[in-house]
Amino acid sequence: MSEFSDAPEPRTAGDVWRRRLGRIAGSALRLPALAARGLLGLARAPKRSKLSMARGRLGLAMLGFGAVYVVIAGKLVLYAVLPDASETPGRISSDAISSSRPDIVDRNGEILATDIRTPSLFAEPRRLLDVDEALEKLSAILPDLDKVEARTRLSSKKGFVWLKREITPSQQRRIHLLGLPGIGFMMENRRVYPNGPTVSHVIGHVNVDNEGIAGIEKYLDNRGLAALHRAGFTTDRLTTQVQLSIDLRVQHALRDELGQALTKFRAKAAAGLITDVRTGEIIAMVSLPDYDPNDPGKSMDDSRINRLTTGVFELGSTFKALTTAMALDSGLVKLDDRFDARFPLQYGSFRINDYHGTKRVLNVPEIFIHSSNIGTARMALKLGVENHKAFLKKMGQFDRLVTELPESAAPLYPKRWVELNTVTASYGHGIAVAPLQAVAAVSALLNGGYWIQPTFLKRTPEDAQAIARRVIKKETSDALRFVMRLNAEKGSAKKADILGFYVGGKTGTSEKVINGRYSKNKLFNTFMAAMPMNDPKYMVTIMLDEPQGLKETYGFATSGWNAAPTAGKVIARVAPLLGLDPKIDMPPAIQSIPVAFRGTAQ
Amino acid sequence: MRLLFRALNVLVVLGLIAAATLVYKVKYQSTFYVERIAKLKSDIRKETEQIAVLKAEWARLTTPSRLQGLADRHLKMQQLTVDQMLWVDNLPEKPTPDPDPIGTLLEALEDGRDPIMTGTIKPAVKPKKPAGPPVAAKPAPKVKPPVALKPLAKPAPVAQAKPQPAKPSPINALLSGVPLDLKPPAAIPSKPVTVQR
Repeated sequence: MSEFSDAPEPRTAGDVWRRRLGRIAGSALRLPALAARGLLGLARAPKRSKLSMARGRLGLAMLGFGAVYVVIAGKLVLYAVLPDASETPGRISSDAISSSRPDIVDRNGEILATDIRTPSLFAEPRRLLDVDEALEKLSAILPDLDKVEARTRLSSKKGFVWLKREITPSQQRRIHLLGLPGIGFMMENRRVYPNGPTVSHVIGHVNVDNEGIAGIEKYLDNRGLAALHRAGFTTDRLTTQVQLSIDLRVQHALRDELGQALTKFRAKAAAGLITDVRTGEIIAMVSLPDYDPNDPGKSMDDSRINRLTTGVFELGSTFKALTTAMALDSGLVKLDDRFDARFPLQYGSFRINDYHGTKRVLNVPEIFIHSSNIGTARMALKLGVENHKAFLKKMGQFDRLVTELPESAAPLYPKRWVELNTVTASYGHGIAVAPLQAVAAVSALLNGGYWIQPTFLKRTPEDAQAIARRVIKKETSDALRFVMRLNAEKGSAKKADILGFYVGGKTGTSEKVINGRYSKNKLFNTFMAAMPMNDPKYMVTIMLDEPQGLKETYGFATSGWNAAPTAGKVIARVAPLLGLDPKIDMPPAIQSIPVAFRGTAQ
Repeated sequence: MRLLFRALNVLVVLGLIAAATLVYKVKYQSTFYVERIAKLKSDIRKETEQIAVLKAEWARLTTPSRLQGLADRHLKMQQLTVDQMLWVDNLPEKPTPDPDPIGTLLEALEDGRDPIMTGTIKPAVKPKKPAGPPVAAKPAPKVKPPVALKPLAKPAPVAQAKPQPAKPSPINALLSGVPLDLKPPAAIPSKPVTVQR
């Protein structure tokens, strides 16, 4: 082979290529025309020559192939533009059967309730090879597995059965190592309450499917979380938090002190409430006995209800604060006015007497500190039935108090309200309200006269101011602060007067109704205190159900001997936590609170 | 012309190969990143779960009721009461610094005392307890001065060391001047202070 003979080769090849390319280009240009002619050619084949028919067919074929390639190219572009499906693993969605809930934290960010992912064990009976073998091996690892129940489930012909919800990771590992076919795990969200029973009545609890069935948990579901769950949007962990107004430290201190009081006074139940009178926030709420939300089985027990919202009680003398405020606010009664408390009031067969009988004429602060039923009833009568009813309505004592907690009780009061009802209601009998309801009203008497809806969620003072509703005059509020402080200096609230915090309060002892009659020895004691009385910030409410008289209380079982000292202990413990600055050298109420009172209270 | 066409052909073929390689690379790189993102996302999810578990555990371990139980068992602490709280106003004044330290020094020298006494220099004689008899020139035989100091131990500083315990140091003066009835500090000035001048 010489170079000579080789030389023209490429030229020839190039020639061929050039010609071919030219032909292709030419035919590409003529493609539409060809295709049209091809189509036409089909239609009028007989009249056309064979050559033109072949050309037409060729064009048609090229058109067809061209279309296929366009489709392929378009699809490629789509693949490139659209997100890759492999990026979102399909496992996740099937993973969480019980969906996640937001964390609940206290006002300082401490966790009250959170989600933890735990494995749950399931089986697919149709894929199971040997039921007996599987059951034997599983029960070795899960000792508390109900064998009979598990056998019936595994022997069924269903595609999917739960064997055990919420097993531990170590159990999961061991079961996994067994290598049983048809046994699998699913990660589920489980609600845990790290503080156990401390905050039980506020946060409530969830069922096994992580649906809230009580307390704030249920409130969250009612607020739309349940709908999100059903739509399947909450499979992944939620980043939002629900912040409550509760302070965990204060809550614990209150619960601890109430627990001690419960055993000391051998009471049936005890409950306590600490609220911010300026914002309506509930800082702590305890009702003993309570339950552990991690083990909610006991919550159905009747004795474990939340007495502060789900129970209604005749609150006794603490209601006198409302009556006094009403009388003073109307302008018909002044602090210096005197009322005759020498003789019992007679109403038909009803006879109203004083527990701490003074048998003399008393002025308003004296009526308050001696807790005179006669004097209070006379004050209420001076205003009349209609004014009294209107005032109680204004203070929210006739309507169900709605808070975030789904559990609430409507107050009980006689539908036919006559003069006798005004007389008894003036000192807290014959009307039963939820304690939280009364606390909201008394807060309004202390914070300058604003009724503020109580809340379990954190609230700023501005928000509180926006929803506040003025119910009494500022001067009336001052007068109430004065008489309540006076009661701590000279009256029944002495045992709650913790040095430095300028406490004021009102005791209430009511006899429980047993078989339709007031019982002399079954008492229901309440005590409402606020601090500091020169500028009230917090209110502490203590309730004791059927406390017993002790040797150290000289056999007395009235509120001043048990509820008041308990409140005192609570105040001494929580006031520093709440950031209250103790002031040791405060003057007595008559000097520190400006009120129009000339007389003296003895 | 032909040559030009051929060169163009070669260029186009090369360009095609280059483009195909590039597309291939980009495609596989994107797959790689997609997988990496998926892995990181699942890692993040695992970490978040782990953090949640740890937080829950922390909350369980620091729950007030548990802490109270531990404190009751292991610590001898009591509840804070109001009379244990103090305010900044009640704190004693900060000691005012000597405006003329050199003057004080000179004054002390005039008195015949050695005013510069640091902690490293041991006093020749430790002052006796205040309850004991006043020490005059006698303590020398009782307390043996360090051997190395023997030739230097002049009688003068020994004699001067006598009346000092009665005069409290500035720190002691401060402590005894505290207007609070705090028991432990009140006991300090009466203690035999090893006054070093």
